[in-house]
Amino acid sequence: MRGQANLTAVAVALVVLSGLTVGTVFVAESALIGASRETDDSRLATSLSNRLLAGDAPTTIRPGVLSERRFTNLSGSRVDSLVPGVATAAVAVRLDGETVFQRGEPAAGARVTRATLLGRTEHRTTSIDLAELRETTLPHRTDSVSLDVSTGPNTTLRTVRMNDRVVLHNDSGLDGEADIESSTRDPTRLAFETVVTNASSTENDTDDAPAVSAGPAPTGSVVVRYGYLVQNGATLEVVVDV
Amino acid sequence: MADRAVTPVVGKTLEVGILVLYVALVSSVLFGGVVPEYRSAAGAEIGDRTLATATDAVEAAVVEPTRPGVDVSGERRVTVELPSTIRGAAYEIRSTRTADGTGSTLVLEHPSSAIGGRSSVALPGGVEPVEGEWRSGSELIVVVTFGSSGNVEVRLT
Repeated sequence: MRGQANLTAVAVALVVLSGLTVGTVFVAESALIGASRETDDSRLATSLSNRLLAGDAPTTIRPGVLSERRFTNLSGSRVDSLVPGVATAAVAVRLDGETVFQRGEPAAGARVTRATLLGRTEHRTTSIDLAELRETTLPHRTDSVSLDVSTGPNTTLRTVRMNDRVVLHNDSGLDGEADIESSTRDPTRLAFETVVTNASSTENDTDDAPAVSAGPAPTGSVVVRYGYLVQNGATLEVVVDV
Repeated sequence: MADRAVTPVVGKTLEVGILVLYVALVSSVLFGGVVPEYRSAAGAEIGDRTLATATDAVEAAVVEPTRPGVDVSGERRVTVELPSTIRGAAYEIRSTRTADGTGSTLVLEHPSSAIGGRSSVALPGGVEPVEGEWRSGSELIVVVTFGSSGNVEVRLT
């Protein structure tokens, strides 16, 4: 009788053990399924956000700064050419919460959020009357300046200096339009060196001081046109679901 | 009366025998079917992650040092850390061209049939397709050559 009772206990224990084993295998199975990370989604989302912000991309003005005009016109072909693997996936690109481009329903995919800058170019035009001013500092930093020179009959504009460096020089006088390159590293300071031809004397100004002679003032004007970058912070969000 | 003394011994022997048989049965079921399958599944996940890491490394290495108006030429070598084996075996990562010939794809090749994959590499426009291959276990390097005429080549060694 004792042997039979122990056998029953063994049988019960074996049943319990089998149940535990099967239960453990189920837990391991569900853990493995839950660990499936959808690596392609996050990889493509990261790649797309990197490529959208890259310096060579058509959507940026410079690395990390999106061009407002070009980015808001983002098209599917542009997205596919940036990251070829995305062509068969559902994609959404959003800026500050607003959807710039969406294809399909990528709600279940990987999302990448980047803080970035949105830039646009503004233009400013100022006119300088040479009778009053022969030096000016532009209020914004810029990397290219357009000048339109029209001097009066008694004035010859010989030299234009930018930050003490000669950028335009013509002994017989500058006239008309010219484009000069500047740098955004320093404020742009323009200096115009003129020579007034007197009827009585041919007195020349020295080259290293703007004309502050006792003779008549130079006449004419210079129209200065330049473009400068305005940047605002923005949040870029990319969602990809393969 | 003599029979009564034998029954406990037979009972215990039976128990021990049944238990040993049971353990052998469960071990064979587990190690024969369940465990290799889980090893392969885990290996497939690691393979996917390895391929994604490799693709990210190649894309990050190709980022051109851009400064407006400045041409850069030279060579950049980036070392990539990848696991030396997956599921106990060495693997290879090979680069191929896409069907239209302009893009690049990295292919993970592994002796086990459950582990493998392809991933497309997102490169800037002027970059030639990636060439070369990696064998796991050795030092893995991405060599990016910026040519003086503006072309960029990427090689895996």
